[in-house]
Parts: sequence; C-alpha cells; structure tokens
Amino acid sequence: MLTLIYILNIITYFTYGYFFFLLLKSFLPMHDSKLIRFFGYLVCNAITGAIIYPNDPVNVAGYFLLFILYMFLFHKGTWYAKLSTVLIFYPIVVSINYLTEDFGRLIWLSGNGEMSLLFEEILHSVTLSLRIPFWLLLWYFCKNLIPLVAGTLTFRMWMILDIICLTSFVGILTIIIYAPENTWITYPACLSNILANFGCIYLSAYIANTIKTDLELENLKYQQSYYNELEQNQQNMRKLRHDMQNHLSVISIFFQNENKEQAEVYFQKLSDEITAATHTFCQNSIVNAVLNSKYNLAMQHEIDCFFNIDLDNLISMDDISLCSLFGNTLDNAIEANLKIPDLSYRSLSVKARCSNKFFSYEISNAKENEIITARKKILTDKANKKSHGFGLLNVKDIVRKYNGTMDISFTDNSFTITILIPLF
Amino acid sequence: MSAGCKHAEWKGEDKMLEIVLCDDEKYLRTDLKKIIERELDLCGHTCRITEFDSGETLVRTLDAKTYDIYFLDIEMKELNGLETAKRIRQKTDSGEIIFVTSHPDFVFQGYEVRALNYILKPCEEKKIISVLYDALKQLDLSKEKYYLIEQRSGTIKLPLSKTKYFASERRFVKAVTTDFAHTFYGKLNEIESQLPDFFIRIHNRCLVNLNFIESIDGDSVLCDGKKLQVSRSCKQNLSIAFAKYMLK
Repeated sequence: MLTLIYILNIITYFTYGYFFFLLLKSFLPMHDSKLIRFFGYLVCNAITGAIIYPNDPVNVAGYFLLFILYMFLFHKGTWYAKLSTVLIFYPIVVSINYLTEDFGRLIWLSGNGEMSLLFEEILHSVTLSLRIPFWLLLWYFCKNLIPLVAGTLTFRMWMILDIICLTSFVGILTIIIYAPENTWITYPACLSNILANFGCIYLSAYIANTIKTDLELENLKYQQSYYNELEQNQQNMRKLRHDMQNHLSVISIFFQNENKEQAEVYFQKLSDEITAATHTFCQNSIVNAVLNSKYNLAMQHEIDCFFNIDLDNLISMDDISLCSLFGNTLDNAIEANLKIPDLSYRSLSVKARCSNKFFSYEISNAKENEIITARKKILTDKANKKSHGFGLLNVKDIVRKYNGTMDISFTDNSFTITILIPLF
Repeated sequence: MSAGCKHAEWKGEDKMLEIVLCDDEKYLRTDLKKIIERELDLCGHTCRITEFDSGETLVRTLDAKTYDIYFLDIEMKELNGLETAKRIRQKTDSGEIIFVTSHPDFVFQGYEVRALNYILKPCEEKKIISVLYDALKQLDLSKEKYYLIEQRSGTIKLPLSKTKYFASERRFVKAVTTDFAHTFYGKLNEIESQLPDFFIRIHNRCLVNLNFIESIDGDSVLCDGKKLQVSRSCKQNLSIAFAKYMLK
C-alpha cells in the first residue's frame, strides 16, 4: 500500500512540475536542444517540489539560488528578463508549497501526532496533489497571455515589474522565515501573495501588448509618410503636366525673340522642378520613404548632405526598428542643424552599410548648442524641458534589442552617433 | 579666390599627382580642370591631369598606368560612370574615385566601388575643393606606413598594412605580419601611441589591425583566420572602431 502511495506521489511530483515547466517555457524561450530541455524539465521538478517549512531560511535561499541557476542555464534572453522571471515566479512557488505542506502539518498536529503511518502518507499525498490543479490552472490562464512578453519588454519595463514583485518577494520570505507559532495566521498573506504575482504576470502581458500596439502605431506613421510621399509625387506630376503647355509657350516666346539667356534661366528652373523627386536609397520602400522625407527636409533647409547608404543585404532587422533608427537620429541631426544661423556651416553626413554580417551606421551633424549632460545622460536643450522627445532613448532601446553597440561623441561643433549591430 | 591652402596632411612629395577627368562633354572637363589645377598649384603640388571623353578609353589605359584621383561623370554614353568605376576596381584597389553628375536625384552608393564622394553639376568650386582635399587626405592615409623596431642587430621596418597584430607576453612583443612573425623587447602602450588608428586595442596584451578582422563574435575576433581574445573593457571601443572602419 505504501509503495503505491509513493509511486502516486512521484507521479504527482512530475505532473505539476511539468505544468510549471510549460509555464516558464512560454514566459521566456528555452534553448533549442531537446536534451537541454529534458534536463531543464528535471530541474523544474526540483524547483516546484521545493520543501518549505516555517522558520527555515536555508531551504528558501537554496531553492532561490537553484531557480536563478536554472534560468541562466536553460533559458534564452537577457539577464534582467531571467532575473525578473525568478522574482515573479519564486514567491508563487514558495507560497503554494508552504501552504500545502503546512496545511497537512496542521491537520497532523490537530490529531496530536497519533496517526497511523498509512494515514499520514495519504494526508501528505492529498495535500501534495492540490498543487496539480493549481499549476494547471495558472498555466492555462497564462499561456494565452504571455507568449509575447519576453521579446517586447524593455529594460525599464522589466525593472518596474521587478520593483512590484520585490514587495511580495520580500514579504513572503519574511513571513515564512519568521512564521509565528500559529502558522495559519500567515495563510492569508500567502494567498494574497499568489494573487499579487498572478497580477504581475497579467500586468507584464498587458504592458507588452501596449508596447506592441505602440510599435504598430509607429509603423503606421512610417507607412503614412510613405503614402504622403507617393501622393506628393502624384500631385507634382499632375501639376507639371498641367503647366507644361504654359511653359512651352513661354519658351517659344523666348525663342521667337531670340532671347537665349532668359530661355536658359527658365530651362534651369524648369529642370529643377522636374527633378525634385524621390531618391532610391534602398530597396525597402518604407525605409526609403523615411530617408527621402528627411533628406528632402534637410535639403529644404540648405543643409549640406552626404548620404552613403548600402542596405541591400539587410534582412534580420525589422522595418519599424530600422525606420525608427533612421527617423529619430535624422530628426535630431536636422533639428541641431536648424539652430545654426549661418547656412554655410550646416552639414549632415549619413553612412549606413551592411557587410561582414554587421549593420554599421554613422550619422554626423554640425551643431552649435552645447550638449547638456547629467550623469552620463544627454539631456534636451529645448526651452520647455517637457516637450523633449524620446529620440535617443528609442534608438538606445533598438540597439539593445539587437545586441548592438552604440557610441555618442561630440566636439564643440559636431555630433556623431555610431552604431554596430550584428546580423544573423 | 579659393579657400586657400588649408590642407597640411598631404606632404608634397616628389611623385606627381595623377588625376583623371572622364566626361564626354569637353567644356565641363575644362571647367573642372581649371579649378583643380589652380588649387593644387596654390598648394605647391605638381599634378598631371589626363582627360578622357569616354569610360572605355580610360579603362583601356589602366593596364599600363595607375592614377591617384578619378573624376568620373555618371551620365556618359555606353560605359557610364558607375560601370567605369567597377572596371577600375577590377584592375586596382588604389586611387580615389569621385563621381560627377548633373542629376540632382542621383543617389550616391559608394561602398560597392569604394568611391569617396560625388559632385553635383554645375560644379560648385567650394565643393570641388573640399572633395579634392578629402581625396588627398585619403591618399595620404592609404600610403604605406612602417613601424621601426630598433635592435642591436639593426633596424627592422615593419610594413603596417601587412601587420596583423601585436601581442605582448611579459616584456616581449610579438608582431605578426602576413609573411613572418617577429619578437622583440617592447611595451604595447608605447607601440600603440605610435601606430595609426586602424590598430585597435582588443585586450591588455593585444593590438589588432582592423583591416584583417573578419568577424567579431562574443569575446573574440577572427583576425585573418586566427582567433584572438577580446577583453570586456575593450569590446565597446572595438565595435565602434569596426563600424567606423566599415563605413570609411
């Protein structure tokens, strides 16, 4: 009979471990190798099987370290995403294990310890099996919520989540390590702790969703600039066709009067008008539209432009990131140039290239205003500090997302951003 | 009058500066020639300007001759400027290419043929001169430089364009070139201060020539087939130097 119960316990143990494993896997991607995943599953069982007694700091700390080790060995992602996952899930593991374990203990104590061994084991199995529906339910609720969390949350977002989770984390540890005699007093705290962290998971999914929507919005904005560009071209063409008759008659008058000089001037003006069209900087039409609109803007303000762009092999970066990278840096560069009153000092150089499995990018502009920095951060020089944009911050996030390197350097009259991003 | 001789890097050498103007319209060549000649004359450079009226004739002479600076018109009949540049690069990697175009919507994509810049017609004198100086600077940078190792047995001249890396071990420094490796007494810091900026520090004990770096991954670089360690503190600098090098 006892062996049967032991076998049942082991099955229980591996079952809820499996749900926990699935949960973590959907939260942060794992390494691809099947063998690694299998070992990961075994370690997962050990973590969810954590034995938590009241007033026992050693186990709490031990399993915490094991969990961290597990995340860093078996999962992909940045260190802060991994650490945050531990902070979100460990309090849940600790709470549920403590509750189920301690609940059994209380019943056992109420019987004054006069129980048969068989009954004790059955009691243990029953409380243990409560964990299966718990993890099943949690996994069931979360699997639709969280698949996009890992890729989209930025460093700052993770940090905010961590701060929230830290409350429940520290709370639960304090409660368990310094549990009072009557342990049932701690139960509501444990339950609310589980709820709080479930809320955190929900919140992270919610934030990720918002960020995704924002990105889509930005994408739409860039598409809009593309359509505007097309529209503008159409209009120019129509206008030109409409005016052609006019132009031709003017020129014919010049010819009749044998006024060669004026005809030449008129020709020049006309040819300028015709050629103010779009440039083909790269094959990607949306990125090209962004580059075009900024290029035209720079030209309008008589900024001396040097564009050298070769993006033919760029496959692994998505359009939005690329548009945002170019858009934000070009906006900043043009804005800085506009503050220079002497037109002959305005200049802008943009170099971008994909080769040697890297995307390299350098944008350099003339400037006049001083760079204001505080704690190594570059601040806005706008008079109304609140109207500053998130240009540089966005660029930094993109570079971080692609594991790239970014460098900002400046002199009294120039400002340069250099970026290197590995391609796959 | 032009901007004057503000260019100091290019030491007027005995070697004559060979400049090519390739354009199928004669009066534009004459214009350009006048400006370039006057400017170089002002700086005391001797130059020979050779004119071609088509890309084909220019390419045909390349077997027998090399030039320092090419001004190529983009809109030429038959072989256009870009195609001409490609043919030039098939024959030689040296020399600076500058495109000249009358199309305001011309898009400069210089990396494929390693072209330096472009000039919009009608040519603005200021722009021509600044591009010309850029080319001269570039020519100077691409000239072979040497690192001299003083030894009791005599001085060894290390051609830097062929030097892959310097690695130090205790008080010795090993210089590895494409042909040989040489070990000598020295300090890496002192060597670094004397090297041009295409040598970059990747480790306390290693200086690498960017021209030989094939790939960077994680904490190492592949330098002409050899894996070299990159220290954490040097990684940022290396990545940025690499980006700048590729964009040159």
